[in-house]
Amino acid sequence: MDIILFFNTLFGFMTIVSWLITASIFYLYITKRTFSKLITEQFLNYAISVASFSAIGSLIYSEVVGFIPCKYCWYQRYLMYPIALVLIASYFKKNLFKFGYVSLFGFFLSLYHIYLQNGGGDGGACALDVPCSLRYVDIFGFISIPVMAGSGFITIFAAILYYDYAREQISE
Amino acid sequence: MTMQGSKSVNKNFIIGGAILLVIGLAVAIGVTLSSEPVAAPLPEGETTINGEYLPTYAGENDDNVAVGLPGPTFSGPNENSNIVSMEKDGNAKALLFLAHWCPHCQKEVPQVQDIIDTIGVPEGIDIIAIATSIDKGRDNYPPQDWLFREGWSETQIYDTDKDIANAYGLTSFPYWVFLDKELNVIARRAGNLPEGYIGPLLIQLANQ
Repeated sequence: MDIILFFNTLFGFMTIVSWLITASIFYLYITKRTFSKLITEQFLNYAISVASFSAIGSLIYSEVVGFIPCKYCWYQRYLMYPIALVLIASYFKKNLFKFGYVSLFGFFLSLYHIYLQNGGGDGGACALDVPCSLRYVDIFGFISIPVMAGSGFITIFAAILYYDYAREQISE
Repeated sequence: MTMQGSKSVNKNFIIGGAILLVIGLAVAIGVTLSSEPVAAPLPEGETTINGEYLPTYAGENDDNVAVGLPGPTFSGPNENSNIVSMEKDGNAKALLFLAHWCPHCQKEVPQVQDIIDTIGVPEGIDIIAIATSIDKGRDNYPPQDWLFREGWSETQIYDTDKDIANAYGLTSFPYWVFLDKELNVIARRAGNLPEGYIGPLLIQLANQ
């Protein structure tokens, strides 16, 4: 079994699903729609799931599939792993969820990595070792690893943003 | 009631997530099992190098480092696993080192081929593509299929162990090495050459 194709397809599918859910969450936020406290809590659970899944997914690509992370992959990991850990800790100390807003920086980092992969910023050359312009994954012609990471970051940000807003509305 | 409601909503969330994951796994397994395996073998054959290795490419200062030094001759397998040699034969050489996974190489090859198709290869020079840093875990593999798709018409050599790349001081891709008729280095350049620059450069090389 081609494990690269297996994980690419699985993560590509989850990335597309996350886009749909993220768009829905932003829609709820813009239209100021709120739900009961029980349902609102699920948005935080969703952010936690996405952060954890993203962290695990990055480890699968490096430790199981064997892709070597480049510099910008590491920068995004430095953000995603703490976000995942702190959001899990927010089960026990609720206010910690606000750390999820850091994911917005991760999103912009992913955007820059996507720019590098598409020929920007590296002087038109690929370094011999592990250049950040290297595209390990290319699902449907446009989903690469930083696209997946960026999708994870923006999904976490959307879920935390909505959760924060809805939580305040409910407590008023 | 609230506790039971909370448990029920959490359970529904978990079930929903599990269903999505199962669908994702099913799609991934289905696609993986139904796809053709990538089993293309690489060209086979021994690579040999004769002569002293060039120093590592020195970027903007490279003209002070490498110009005038003799380039080592070499041989290696072409796309049909026939051994091809780069040696002194009265022609200047334009060596183009490529990595199949490098997007800049993927941009460079069609530009070079376009020039070859338009003005032809100037008399007195040989253009040789050397596919190196070959990695089946990276995209656009295997390199011989890529060059075939691009309609590459000139000589191609497969440097599977990176020996030729090391001998020529490669540090990044794409990597041009221009040799005169005596196989002495005229210039080395790394990265995409500006469009419109390659044709005049080849003509200049032919007139050396």
